[in-house]
Amino acid sequence: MSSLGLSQEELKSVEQTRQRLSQLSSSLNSLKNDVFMSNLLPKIDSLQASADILNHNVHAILEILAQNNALFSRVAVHPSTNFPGRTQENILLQLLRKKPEPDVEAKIDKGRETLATMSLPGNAAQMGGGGGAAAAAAAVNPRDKEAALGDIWGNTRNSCQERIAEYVVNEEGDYFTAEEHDIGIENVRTGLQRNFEDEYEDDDEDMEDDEAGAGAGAGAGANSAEPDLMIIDRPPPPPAPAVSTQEVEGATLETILRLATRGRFAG
Amino acid sequence: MHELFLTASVRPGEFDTACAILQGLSWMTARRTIYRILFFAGQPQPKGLPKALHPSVLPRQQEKQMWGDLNKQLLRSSYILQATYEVAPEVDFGKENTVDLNRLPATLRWTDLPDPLRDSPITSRKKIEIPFPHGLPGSLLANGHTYTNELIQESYSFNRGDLEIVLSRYYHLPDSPGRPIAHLPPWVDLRPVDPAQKWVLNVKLNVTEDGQPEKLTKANEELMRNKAEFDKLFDFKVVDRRIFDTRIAPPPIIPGRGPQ
Repeated sequence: MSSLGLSQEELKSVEQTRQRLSQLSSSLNSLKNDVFMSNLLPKIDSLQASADILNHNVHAILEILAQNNALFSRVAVHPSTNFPGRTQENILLQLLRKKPEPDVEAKIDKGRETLATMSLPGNAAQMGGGGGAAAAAAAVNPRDKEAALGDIWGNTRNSCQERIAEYVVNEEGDYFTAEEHDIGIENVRTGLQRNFEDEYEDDDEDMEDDEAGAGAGAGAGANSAEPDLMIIDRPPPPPAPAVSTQEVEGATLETILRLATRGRFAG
Repeated sequence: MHELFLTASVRPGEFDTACAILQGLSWMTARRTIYRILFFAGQPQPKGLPKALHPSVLPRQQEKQMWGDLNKQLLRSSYILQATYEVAPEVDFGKENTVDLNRLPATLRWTDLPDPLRDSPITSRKKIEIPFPHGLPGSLLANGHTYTNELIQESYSFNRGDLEIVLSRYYHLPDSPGRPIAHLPPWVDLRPVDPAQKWVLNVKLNVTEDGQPEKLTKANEELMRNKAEFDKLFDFKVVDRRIFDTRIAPPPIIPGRGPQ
């Protein structure tokens, strides 16, 4: 232990990282097996569950890496003496690499460059106006820019989440689009034989019952308030295909095959 | 390559049921493919394929070899050859733009007169199929073949192991004497070859190796085993091999009445 020059605490972080990586690896393996072993693909639910698990694993690793950033950037790793260095040379080189790979490094540089030439994002920059933007860009501390960008993305994420929550709570059970609500749901051609509108309305009423009179809200009342005025426009039955009315025997099998072989009857 | 197949017809009203059963048997949903088939007639006298193809037309050795094999067949007799293009109803039909068939990938298909049947419902024949990345019609015309006609084939196919099960229907294209039509009409305007719109069902097996009679016998047996299973569903017909005659020389038989 002591030869590593790491404190107990630091060793724990390294060990934790190892565990998380092994978890990620085993999750990946189990997904791989699922896909290979099941005839037809696994159910979509199970794939989504696997994706969730993988996402969670990666997130955990990132968290540990972020927490121990300072430690990991100064720890020097050496293979143990019994590591099969000859046969596993490739993986060893990967593991011992301290710098990012060239293409990653190029991307990092590009990102830094973009950040340097960028004016301060957000409201401050807009107020600065067009002309002074370039001058302002150089003046502003890159850290402030990063923080401002972080804010923008954070806000975006928050408002997306809010919107999704609203969708899940209020709108998910609604079978119709806003446009269809505008033209009136009774005019929507669902293509279903059963009377969809009735069912939908029942749901509405149930909901109103549940809400016990609190249904004075806007949307729900409009459809059920005047059921007598509903104009039902059921789609006409699809036209029968020509074949079903045609009782003729048509061409013989031989004729069809002959034509398909030679392209025409003569020659 | 050798192909062996059984033939039956399926009425349009029974098509959905047939597909449902075949889907169950093959564990797959039908794959729909549409082919535009151009027919080319060889010279009145067999002359083979005198011109070697430019390397850009058939770059790979495997296809060059097949071209050579085809040449041997065409020296023996003159045949009708097919050039097939895969097309899609939404993309290729009812559009104004002109397509240059020489620029599109196509498959050259040659089939021989089937082997004698000996009262078997299995049609067995030699075939050569050469994929061309481009330049197929030009190569055929340059080698003395003449364009005769074209058809559209609509097919739904299933695979079960090596077995290929195909339901096909054919359509006429509007007249365009002497050359393929410039624009394909809208899909709905196609005129079916069979007014009753029957489907032709083929249950097929391929034997890739030539000159190995024991493999042919084995494939024959396997197809007969499958026939025993499919017999409850489809009424397989013994088809006279002259129906599938692609040679130029023999006089045409009168269709409809069957061979005399």
